[in-house]
Amino acid sequence: MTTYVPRYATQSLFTNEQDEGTAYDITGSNSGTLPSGFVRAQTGNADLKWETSTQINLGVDFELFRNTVYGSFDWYEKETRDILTLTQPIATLGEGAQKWVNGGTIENAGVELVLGYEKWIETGLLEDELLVDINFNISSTENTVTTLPADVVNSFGGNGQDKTILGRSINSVYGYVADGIFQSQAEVEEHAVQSGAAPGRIRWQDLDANGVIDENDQDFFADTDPDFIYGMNFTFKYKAWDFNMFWQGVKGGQIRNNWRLFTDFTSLNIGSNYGARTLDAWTPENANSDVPALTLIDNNGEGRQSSFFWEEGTYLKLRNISVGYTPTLDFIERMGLNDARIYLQAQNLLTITPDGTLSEDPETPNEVFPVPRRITFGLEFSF
Amino acid sequence: MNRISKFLTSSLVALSVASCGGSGELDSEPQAVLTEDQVATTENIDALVIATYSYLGNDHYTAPNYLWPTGNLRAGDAHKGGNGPSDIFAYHALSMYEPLVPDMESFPPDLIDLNNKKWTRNYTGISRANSALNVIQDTPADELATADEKSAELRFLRAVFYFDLKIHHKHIPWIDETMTQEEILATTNRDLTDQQLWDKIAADFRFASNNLPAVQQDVGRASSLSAKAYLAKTLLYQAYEQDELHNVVNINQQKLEEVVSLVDEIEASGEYGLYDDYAENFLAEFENGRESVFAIQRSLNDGSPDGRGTWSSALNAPMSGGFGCCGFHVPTENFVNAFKTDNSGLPRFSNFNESVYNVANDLVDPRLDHTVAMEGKPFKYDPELIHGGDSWARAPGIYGNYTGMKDLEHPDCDCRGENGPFPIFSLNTVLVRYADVLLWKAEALIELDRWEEATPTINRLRARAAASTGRLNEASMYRIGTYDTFANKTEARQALRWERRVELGLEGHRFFDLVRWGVAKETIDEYLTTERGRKPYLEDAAFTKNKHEYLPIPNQQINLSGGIYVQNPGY
Repeated sequence: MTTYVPRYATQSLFTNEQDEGTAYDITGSNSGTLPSGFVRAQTGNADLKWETSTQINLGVDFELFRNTVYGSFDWYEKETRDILTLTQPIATLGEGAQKWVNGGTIENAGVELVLGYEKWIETGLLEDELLVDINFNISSTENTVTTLPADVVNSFGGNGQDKTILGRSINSVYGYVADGIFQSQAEVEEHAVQSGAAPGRIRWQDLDANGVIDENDQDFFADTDPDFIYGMNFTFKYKAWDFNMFWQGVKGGQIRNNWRLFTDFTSLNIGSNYGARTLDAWTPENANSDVPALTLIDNNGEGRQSSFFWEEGTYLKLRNISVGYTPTLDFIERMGLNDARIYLQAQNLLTITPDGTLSEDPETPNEVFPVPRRITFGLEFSF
Repeated sequence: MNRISKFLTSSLVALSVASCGGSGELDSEPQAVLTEDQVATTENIDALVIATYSYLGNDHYTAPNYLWPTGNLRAGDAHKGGNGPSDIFAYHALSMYEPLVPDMESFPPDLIDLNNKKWTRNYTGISRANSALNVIQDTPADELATADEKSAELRFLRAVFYFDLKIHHKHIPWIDETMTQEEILATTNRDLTDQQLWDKIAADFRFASNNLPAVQQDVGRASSLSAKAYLAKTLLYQAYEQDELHNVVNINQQKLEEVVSLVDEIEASGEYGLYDDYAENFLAEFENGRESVFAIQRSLNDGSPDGRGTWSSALNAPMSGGFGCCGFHVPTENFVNAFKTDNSGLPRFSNFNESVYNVANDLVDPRLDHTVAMEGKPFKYDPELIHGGDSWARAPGIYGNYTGMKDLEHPDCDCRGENGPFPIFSLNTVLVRYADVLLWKAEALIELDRWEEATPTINRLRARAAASTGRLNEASMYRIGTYDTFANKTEARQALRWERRVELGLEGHRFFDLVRWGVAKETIDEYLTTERGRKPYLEDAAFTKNKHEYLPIPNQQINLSGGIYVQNPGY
């Protein structure tokens, strides 16, 4: 059934949110409350139902050698069906043709492993026992869109025909594939016809090999899903001293580094501060640079969605490291305290990234402020 | 186990991917929804008509109904401006032609296909008209005394949206109120021929002109006379018959005759006239006056979040002089030079573009200083507000430092609003101006070989221009004269086409004029030959004949059609 709703006005300013209202200054009065009307409402879907998930989970928990070694292993597969999706209708269906449908199935499959070791050890070197407590966990998950109805298959990128999200991760990215920088006029001429091509400019891959770079040379070139994520925790206690260290890492998964719009180009944000990388931009003499030749005029569309801005999101971070000292019970009682501890702690002290990572912090590649590094010296007393 | 769960936290985060997004929709109560029966009252039907008008003013610089990007940038009358090519690359592409592709979704900075956006918004406007027409059809006649009049307004508005689609894309799907959803999905952009599509648009305007009052109480409404004007415009475009590759192959004399007689009727009504001073067309104080035939009504402080002002022009103010953003829409040297006149005050047809305009040496048509603000001259007629050249421009090294003025008002105008850095105005966007209407008739007369009858019209506009120096503070050396006679059709045609460029400069018509006349390729090539020496960003600009006369059909729509839409030639 077609229905109508009154709607006076919505946003005008932002690119994605133009006015979809109905108010109009029909009398030419230039201000004041305007006459307004109705819009055809979003098309209903009487068949709409809850999405459903089924999950299979197989796991073992184990404790060995009198609880000194423990761990668990889990394998799971989760299938979510009838996922609610907003359709992207063809323009000619007009206003209110968008509707919620139960659109398709996504599979998540993964494994998780936890391993731990905990024991008070006689080392022989030390006069007292040393507590060693080490934990390791790792997990990996894979996301696949397995089915989508025809009216939503194009809502996730792709060309609507042979290249769709089906069979890929929902977190896949669609666009052009940057294939280095043209080194010479000869390379430009050898390459497919690319409007804006010149020595020093980004070369787009001719994915369909038809000799022309156009919109058909886009494909899904990356996804943001990590291969695996992991964590390691180390705790040692010896007499009054305790020590803890926690590492956490991500392997794989692509991130978009938007700062490269500033660091690698003088054409994409004219008049702003440019990054130091522009000093190493491509010139015939500096041919090995991965920074395109400097120009104020980007005829090559280099700000387009392409693999140029994407890089590995791999990192390993020392999230926490601390050392503490708990005075003897005697001392505490003498001071009239219930408890006391003195410690030095550092958070996010270290981030390790592979060679080639340009992002300052692959965990938050586009944030203005980095994750803070915090060093704390603490005295704890309780009375 | 406590210990284990603590360390599992990081893994669990990854597991919560894609749970039930949007499921809240299932529970929410529908808000104040009206059924078709409930809407079908006389009062509500006018509310649906208002909603259709509203969509004209719901435009924005990313999908404007003032056609500065597609009408001016593509014609060599203005550079995109702004912060270099990547600052709305889709509009940079309009100046360069070759980067125009069927899928512009990867264009920075929006990563939205603006070609698709404008297409979609036009069909949204059309659907507002169509669903209102449906409601009228389902309303018992005794409940709706004004059925024909309301239908006429709706068909007028529908045709305005279709006209915009037609001049941009040529082959478009025609959707009307009689079609079911299944029929719409089966409709392609080639079901009707080029000429049949024009017939459809003309039929809507014809119905409107037959069923609307000559004058409307509300200044924003379509009238029988404004419908006649749009009908004349439609027939003029239709008269230049194109082949599949957009070459003009015949000029239909019968259509031209009708253009002449329609404009005769409009003139005879006495409802419209030229303002005494050309300036009054571009000042909010005079809007909806006698030269405004049909305009988008803009407003501010109207209860909408940002004001229903000139969002279509929100980027076009200079960087200084009481504004702060964003320096788009920069007139070209070629355009400015077109205003140069010789000693008798006539255009310098053959040597206008040999050198860059020099205020100290060059005689000019006074319309220059109504249209373009430039260094050392007043902005919007204010002798205290002198354009600062480069200091007012955004990227003068690329685009120069001129400012287009017609779509802007004075910074101190009480018609000004703002959101963030974007200035807007309640200044109307005039879609049809009486001077334009008069020039259609003159054009039709010339193509009918009756050029001597066209001469008075052209001269009337030139005389008005000559009398329009009162607000100009003697900023330039003005010289404008009238034509005695035209020796032949070629001369008359040249004068008419020149007159359109300067009289209607930067008003969004020029590129569509060039395509209508079948001279886009040669005109743009000539422009580029000189202008690329002045503005090196144009070095690789290249207009391909039989292709760039029209924009591509948006790739997204072809995809969504399941491939039944046919792409335009060359794309």
